[in-house]
Amino acid sequence: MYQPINSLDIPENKMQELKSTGYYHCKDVDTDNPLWDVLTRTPETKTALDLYHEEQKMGSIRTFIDHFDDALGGGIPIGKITEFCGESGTGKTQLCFQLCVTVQLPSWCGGLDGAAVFLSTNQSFATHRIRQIALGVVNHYEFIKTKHLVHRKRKVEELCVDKIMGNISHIYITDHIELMAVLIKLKQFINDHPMVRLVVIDSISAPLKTLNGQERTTVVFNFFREVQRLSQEFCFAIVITNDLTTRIGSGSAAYQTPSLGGSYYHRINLRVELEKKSSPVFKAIITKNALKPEREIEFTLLA
Amino acid sequence: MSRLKSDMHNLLTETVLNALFANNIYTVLDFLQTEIKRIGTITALHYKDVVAVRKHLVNKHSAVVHTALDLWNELMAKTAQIPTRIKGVDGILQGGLTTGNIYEVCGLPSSGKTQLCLTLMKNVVSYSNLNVFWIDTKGDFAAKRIKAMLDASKADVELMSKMLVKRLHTQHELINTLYQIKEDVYIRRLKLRLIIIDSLPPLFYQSRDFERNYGVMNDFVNILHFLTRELHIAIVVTNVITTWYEGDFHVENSATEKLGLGKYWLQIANTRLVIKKRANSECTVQVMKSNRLPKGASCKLWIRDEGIV
Repeated sequence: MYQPINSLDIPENKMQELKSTGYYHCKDVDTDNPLWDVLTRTPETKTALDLYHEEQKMGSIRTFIDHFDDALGGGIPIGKITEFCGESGTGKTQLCFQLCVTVQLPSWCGGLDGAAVFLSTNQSFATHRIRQIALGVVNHYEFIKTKHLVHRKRKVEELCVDKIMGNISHIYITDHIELMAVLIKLKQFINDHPMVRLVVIDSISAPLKTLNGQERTTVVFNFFREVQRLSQEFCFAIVITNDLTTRIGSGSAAYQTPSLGGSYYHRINLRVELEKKSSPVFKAIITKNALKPEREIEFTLLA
Repeated sequence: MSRLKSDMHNLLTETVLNALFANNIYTVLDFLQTEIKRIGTITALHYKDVVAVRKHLVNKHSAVVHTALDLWNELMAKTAQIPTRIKGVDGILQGGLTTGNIYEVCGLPSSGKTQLCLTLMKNVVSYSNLNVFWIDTKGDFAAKRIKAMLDASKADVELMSKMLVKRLHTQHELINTLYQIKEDVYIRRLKLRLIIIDSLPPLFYQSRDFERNYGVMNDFVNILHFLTRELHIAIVVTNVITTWYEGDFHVENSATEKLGLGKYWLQIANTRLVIKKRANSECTVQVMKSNRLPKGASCKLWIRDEGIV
């Protein structure tokens, strides 16, 4: 059985041109053309062992809330899409800020020496709050530095708030068209800044609200395809936030469920549902994770 | 419908071919549908030679006739049953996965589809000398999880080198990959009896051009059938079930469940298994559709450190 040229990513008019001159199968086409190579190419095959070593080498972004990291299976994984969902005020954006800072910690204490890109769709990028968190992390860093390295004559990296703030880049997006367009910008940016290990989208649901069901699915799946392709190539984690919507169950009982529906939930790799207990204690339920079973934990955010 | 080439017959020289192409005779079919006399005048070949070329092309390019007995014998000799080594699943599948079949595992998001497939891969590789191919369309393949499963069942980590993984993102990459696997098995003799595709909907939800999607789906199904029937491979595909809400307050039972990928796909899988999450780390699997297994048979499964048991 030969591969038909129909199955290739060729524009309709070119396809007609090929067919009218008797080309129906890939094997009949002169394969010297470099473009042909691109059309019939497949991604590289890797063994699970190769991928395991890659995963180990890349590590994951720790939140530095130990039982949270443990429940996630080590932290926020690289190359995957992790979603935080919950009502407003349940700590979604706060957690994202915290990750933007902790991703920058040096590798000796479990960080990735990375940088972060924050795409906000709802003007949530609060620099004063990031500054607070950065200050807290720097203080904590000084503390563990003296605790762990006092006996060793090793020089380690200095952290300062301004440097941390400088390594978090912000892009503001207003609608789904800008969301798709930002992918091109993102690719350029990450090419120039290869240390980016985290891309946050806060929130994914805001720019999609104006679209109807089918359009929304197409936009979401195309966006995720491109951003995940980039994340696997350039080794960064994708963290998105999502809000809740109300559904009517049987007996007209209303309940809250994450927005954007089932096919979207299928597409993301991890889901963390957040709730507020009592300030500053939050609850997280990890409902989707290939590494660990569902788990519920409580945590406190940095003051 | 192959294009005419000089290596098809020694009378089909470059000069002859160019003369044919100049008269819009490009493919074997075009050649056979043109009168022998006309081909004679175009190519300046003798009538006798044209008939010889015709005969050769018909023999080479038409479908082959097999007797039912031949087909039966081949089927008996080459079909294999691959035990999943998950007790409940082997029970409802009456022994395991059978080559020549397309299996579909479907369920609501986060119901254990990927976990079931990861366990399948681990078990098949652990108890045989076969490779397993994994096609990952949404980055869900977790090597770390496979490693943990192998560790928990005290198996050798080296087994992971028999698990072949391709991460892809588009429909076209999927079809190119399946044709490449065909070559790997056919020409390079790769020992392969199981391909897992996790999952299909992300590739088809990227486009709203339904006509094109339909065409690509058809190409996909054709190569799937070739791999399963001619190369005796079993294929496991995961698909999503989504819940659709209609109505408003005071409307009872407005939620309906729908299988992804549309009506055409419904008829493709030979056996459809539905996986449902019960409690934490517990799920059930039920045969929803099958051409040979009893419908409705179900079993209980548990997600453990060593995989699904």
